[in-house]
Amino acid sequence: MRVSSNELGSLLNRVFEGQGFVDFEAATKQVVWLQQCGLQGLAHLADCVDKLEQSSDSLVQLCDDSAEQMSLNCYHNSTLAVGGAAVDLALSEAMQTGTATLRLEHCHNLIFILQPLAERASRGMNCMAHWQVAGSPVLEHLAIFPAGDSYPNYLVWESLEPAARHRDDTLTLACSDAIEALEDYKEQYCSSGTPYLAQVTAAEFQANERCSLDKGIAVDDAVWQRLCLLGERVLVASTEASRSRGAGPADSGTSGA
Amino acid sequence: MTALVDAARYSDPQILMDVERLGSMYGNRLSFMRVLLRTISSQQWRISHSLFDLDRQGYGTVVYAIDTPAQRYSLVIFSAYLPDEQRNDRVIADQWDLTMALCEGDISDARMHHLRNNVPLQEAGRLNSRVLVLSRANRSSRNFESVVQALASGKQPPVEQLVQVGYLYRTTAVYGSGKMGMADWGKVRDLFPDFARPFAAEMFTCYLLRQFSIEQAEHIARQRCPDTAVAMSKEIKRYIGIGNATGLGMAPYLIKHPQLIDRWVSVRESALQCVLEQSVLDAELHAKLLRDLDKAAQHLAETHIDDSRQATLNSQARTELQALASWLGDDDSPVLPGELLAQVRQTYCLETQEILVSLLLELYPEIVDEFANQMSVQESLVIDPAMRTSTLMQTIERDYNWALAVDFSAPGAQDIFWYRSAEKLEPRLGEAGVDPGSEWQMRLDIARSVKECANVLQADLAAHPDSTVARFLLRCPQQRPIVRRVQSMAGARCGEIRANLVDADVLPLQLLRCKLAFFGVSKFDPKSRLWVRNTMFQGAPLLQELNEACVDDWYFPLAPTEQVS
Repeated sequence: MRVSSNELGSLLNRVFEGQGFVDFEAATKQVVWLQQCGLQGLAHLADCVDKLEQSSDSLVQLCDDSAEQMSLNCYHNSTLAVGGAAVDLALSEAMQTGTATLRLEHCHNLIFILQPLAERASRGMNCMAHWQVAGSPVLEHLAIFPAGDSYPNYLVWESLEPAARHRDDTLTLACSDAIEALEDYKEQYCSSGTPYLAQVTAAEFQANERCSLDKGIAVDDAVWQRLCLLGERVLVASTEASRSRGAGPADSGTSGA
Repeated sequence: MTALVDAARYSDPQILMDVERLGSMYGNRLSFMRVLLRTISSQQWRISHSLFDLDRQGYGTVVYAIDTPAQRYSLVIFSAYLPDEQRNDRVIADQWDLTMALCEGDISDARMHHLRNNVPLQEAGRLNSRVLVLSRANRSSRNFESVVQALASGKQPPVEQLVQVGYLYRTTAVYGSGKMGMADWGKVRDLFPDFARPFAAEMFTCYLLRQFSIEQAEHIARQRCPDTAVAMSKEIKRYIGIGNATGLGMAPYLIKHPQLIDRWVSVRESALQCVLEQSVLDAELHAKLLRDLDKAAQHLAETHIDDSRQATLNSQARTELQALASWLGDDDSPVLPGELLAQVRQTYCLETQEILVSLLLELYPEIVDEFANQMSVQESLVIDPAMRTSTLMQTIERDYNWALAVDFSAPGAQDIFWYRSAEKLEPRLGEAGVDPGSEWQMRLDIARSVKECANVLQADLAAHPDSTVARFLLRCPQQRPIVRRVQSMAGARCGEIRANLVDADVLPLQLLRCKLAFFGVSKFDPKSRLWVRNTMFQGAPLLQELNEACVDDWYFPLAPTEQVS
């Protein structure tokens, strides 16, 4: 089925609110953006939505506050819950010092970091995120947002690191007023000539988002139904009393006009 | 000088955004219905039937083809039998006299099949992104049959009856912006310039519903008594509008879209400021103002409602408008718009003040109308993480002093909560400590949230006097939504409705009326503190009149004075 951005957003707001997210609208934007841009936001959400319930909102601790690289313990929370705060921290430090690097540790569902980065990059800061995903082979993910752009250049390639050394609950964020600084990071992670398994350009992100807006967002029926069930948690059972006292008289339509 | 002093006072958001004042607003030249009809007229949209397939009772399908300079749209209307006992205006209803959808392009057989299977289901149906608006309407049980019968017997409907209820159909919901799978607002804004203003497509659907309601009544009358039936007179047609029942669902919108509300109020206020800076009214404008004051007073006299509070306000405003007209008519002194408004603000009730604002805007269309293009805004609430928390506190103290002033420990101050019912997500009000569901209340309590945030921030500042907002929000993540709102609204003077919306005495009706005034409705008829009936497009030019020359004089519509037989 196809749904609109508005109705997907409304449903996800209810889902995340029902799971205890204080900033549920921010989490919703992260999923919707990813889905609209063609990166399977809903499939990623479906993989983790049951585990999100354990999230509380006192979520992170800044454990390394050094100028070179800050570090945030996310206590196994999702970037849906902590991603915005992490990006805000990196951004605020970069606005003061020029460049900031922040390492998120014990954090999950890392791909959802892209929307908050897109939002901040579009307001004038170069941003980057790098993370690894477990599997065989281990995959490296890198997204670079030039300042002022709403869409990244997104790269995926096979890791050269031994599988035993990889961390799939760690993500590195960098924000800088100089794009060259982020290019340096890219070279650090991805040597020249590395073949990419996937590359999504900013133009492709934009085209996917435009297509979603024009035609609606393709959604798996089963996932949609599951989310609808989760979203029911915030709905209050109707009673005769609430029907009459809370929303007007029950016979409003037959009152003679 | 007096005018400038008054202008400054009137721009004070503390005055402008007071909920009682917002709940006293009237439509004006910048209202969306007025702007829509001016657009249709100036662009010479062509609107015709591409299908008119109604049976003798008026049941069947009608399709209007709409050709604008940009493209073609179709409004598809399904009319079906509905037993009287099934007629219900609430969101929770599941059958209606009439359902309809505004679509882009022509309607192929396949599209018609899909629409026929889904539009009558309303919320239970699925549409696609080629549909812009979905709506439904119920017949007026008081008017519809008697109007048809009058026409069938060769008479015009009695005006006195239409003064009581000025419509044949009432809409009970008008959905757009992506609901039920329809086109998102972003698509409408980018691809359909004809409707790239707030609620333009929704208002247009209601305007064509009014046209249909007249055509259907005439059709049934002709079918019933072909030898005696007459067409409705032009004056009566013009006086027939579309009824509307608006409930709580509209109120959360005003809270959830502060940047849009800021834009609407600010634009209206900017237009007003330009009017207030005008010099002495010349004889022509002076005479027009006198006529309009009489017209507004008469309009109120013809507004029949049961609600005692609103009836009292209407009566007072009518008396004051007559007094004002009398004074202006008798006194030869030059009239400055700014001075006049200043005096009215010092002397008369809010309803009178707001009527005068609407009438002053009518005097200067060449100044006011261009403001209509500024009513849209691309909303974006974003945290400024580098701001110091001391600056954030100053921002709260400067922009939200009205919220900090609320005493939430006072009796009744937190007695109400807003929630979504499992019954079709209908928004409802609950009583704290009595009704279930407070744990899932909607976050419309901006004043309370700001005050809580200020308290948390104050304590945090004591421990971290030189912190950024980013670091504060790591320590206090519960404050992220309200901090985002406060920071995003900094400098926006008219985005926040200054009221405690969880107070026992809250009047949601005032929020509804504010939004409806921007739509351009008239005849506000409160049915409780939770919902209001009103009339759309009453007095508006008919379709064929729009194609001739737009007569944009339909504010404060009056009943036809001559009975046409």
